[in-house]
Amino acid sequence: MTKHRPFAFFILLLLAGCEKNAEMPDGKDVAIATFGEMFDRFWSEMNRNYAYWDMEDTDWDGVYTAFAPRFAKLDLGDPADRQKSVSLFREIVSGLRDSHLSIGFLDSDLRDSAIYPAGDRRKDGYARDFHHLHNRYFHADLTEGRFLFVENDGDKLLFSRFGRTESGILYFGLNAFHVARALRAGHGPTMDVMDSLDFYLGNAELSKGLIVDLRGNRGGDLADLNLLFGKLALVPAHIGFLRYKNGDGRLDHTPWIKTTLYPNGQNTYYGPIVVLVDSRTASAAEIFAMAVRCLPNGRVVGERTWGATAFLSPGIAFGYGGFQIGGFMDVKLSGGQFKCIDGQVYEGIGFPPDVASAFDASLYQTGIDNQLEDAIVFLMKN
Amino acid sequence: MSESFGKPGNGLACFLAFFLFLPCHGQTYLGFGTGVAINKLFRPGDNVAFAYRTGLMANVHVAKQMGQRTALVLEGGLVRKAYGKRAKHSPNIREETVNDYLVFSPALRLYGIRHKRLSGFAETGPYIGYWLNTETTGRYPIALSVMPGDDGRYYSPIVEATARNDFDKRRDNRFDAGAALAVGSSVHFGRSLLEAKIGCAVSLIDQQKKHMRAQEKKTNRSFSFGICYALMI
Repeated sequence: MTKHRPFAFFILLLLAGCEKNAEMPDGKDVAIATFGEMFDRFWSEMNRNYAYWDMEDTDWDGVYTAFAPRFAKLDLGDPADRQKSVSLFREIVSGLRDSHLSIGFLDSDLRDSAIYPAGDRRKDGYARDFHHLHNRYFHADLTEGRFLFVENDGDKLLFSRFGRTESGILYFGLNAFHVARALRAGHGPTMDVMDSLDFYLGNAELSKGLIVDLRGNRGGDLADLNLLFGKLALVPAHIGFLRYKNGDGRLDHTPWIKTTLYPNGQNTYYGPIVVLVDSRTASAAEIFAMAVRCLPNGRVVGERTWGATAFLSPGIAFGYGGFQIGGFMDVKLSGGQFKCIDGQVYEGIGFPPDVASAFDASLYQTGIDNQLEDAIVFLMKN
Repeated sequence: MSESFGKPGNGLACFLAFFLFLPCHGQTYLGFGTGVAINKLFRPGDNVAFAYRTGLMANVHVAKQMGQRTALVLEGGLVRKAYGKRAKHSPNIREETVNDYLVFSPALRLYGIRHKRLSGFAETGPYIGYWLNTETTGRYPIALSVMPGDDGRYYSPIVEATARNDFDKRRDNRFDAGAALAVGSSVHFGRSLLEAKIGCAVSLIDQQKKHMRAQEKKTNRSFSFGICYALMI
């Protein structure tokens, strides 16, 4: 028996290594009875779903140590404590880089207590309204579309505008990326705007350049990226790289995956293109600007963008992304990371323009859009 | 387990020295082997489904008879520990990863049945692996390149991508170690022998460094089939 002891020892080791491949419960299905459990679930779901841990300064383990006792003192049944929990959650996520990160509360008392850290970090006031000055500059062939992309919600309005200067500079402006949705719905004015754009893009000799005005554009449907970029590109354009979470580990990611946008096959436009952006240009609109910058005839004018350079696609790839907890909160997160073709991840910092042009509110009040004028000057010079 | 586990090199050197200077009671065989390792990665709770994949292995084999029924065996070589991973919600989104390890495995072998030239044996011992290289091939959706399908709905194309996954010193453990068990048989032809064995190996340390609270261990489990040709020296 003695000589068989080494075998017995290693068989024991092998058996010790065998463990049940347990399934982690889904956050939606877990009944939460206390704020302690709520915080535990929130911390764990953030830990496994958040896409930017490799770039964060926040000590997430330290967050657990610091906040678990504070949540443990709160009573889930007490409305005042539920309100206090919002402040704690706000404090926890305030420094996180993901600019798509937001927390909505499903609890009826807390419906108005949404948390949006990237918005809280901005101190430069509300979005600016660029919707009336363009007439002064682009009065030829002016067409406009106003499409309510969510019915009965006046805030969900897509403005699309096309115009032209006498000297032949084209202007195409969008306040959101919902063009494909408008076209699918057969919205006439939006179709007119796109037809005008298509006409001039198909007759490049009639124009001296194109300005795509995405100031204040908060992004929207990713379907618009290929739709709009496809009108400007002559060949497929490698615009950067994507990667997704692919495991529960904080640093588990897929490799960087080459990301390409495609031409629509009918484009013949070769003239210069300027994308006009500001500090409110976000998400798909930022990615569009980065994509146009990859074209030999594309440049970006304006301000550093918002810095929400990834995308909200819950569950895409390996199923990591936003989550809900116990009917109490709904956490939205980026579905992955996007790295620009220049090798930089601009999440949380924004994409810099080629030609910097800061918004001048005082000039704007007098009817002068200095950023638009800078874009026109840039096109005239180039 | 952290990179400080990286001391095993010293232990291995001591073991080799011990092995080579053992009193020479019996024959010593030197040879080479090859085979396949069928490997899978395990981690409880991951939101992905892991699958077994096959990789090749090749090694140098040294065996020293210690007595009538015992021998010490040392094998060192390359083992490709591959594994598959797919999204639970879609079979089209998946990854195939190959991890190449330089593996040393000392084992104690016990001979059982002996019949003329044929003998059966069982062996067990620890193994230690040094992670050399990894490559991942995957099929991923390109979330930003959304295009309309024939049904009017919009889809992200799923593309195939291959990438070398660089070693991430914050995340990855350079060393793998665990326990191995094998059974096999050998046929003797004069001064040479031919062996075939099947085995299994279980990693006992995390493939990743401890980088977060409540971290679940990610470990390799392998089955292997190998053949070996050796000469008495």
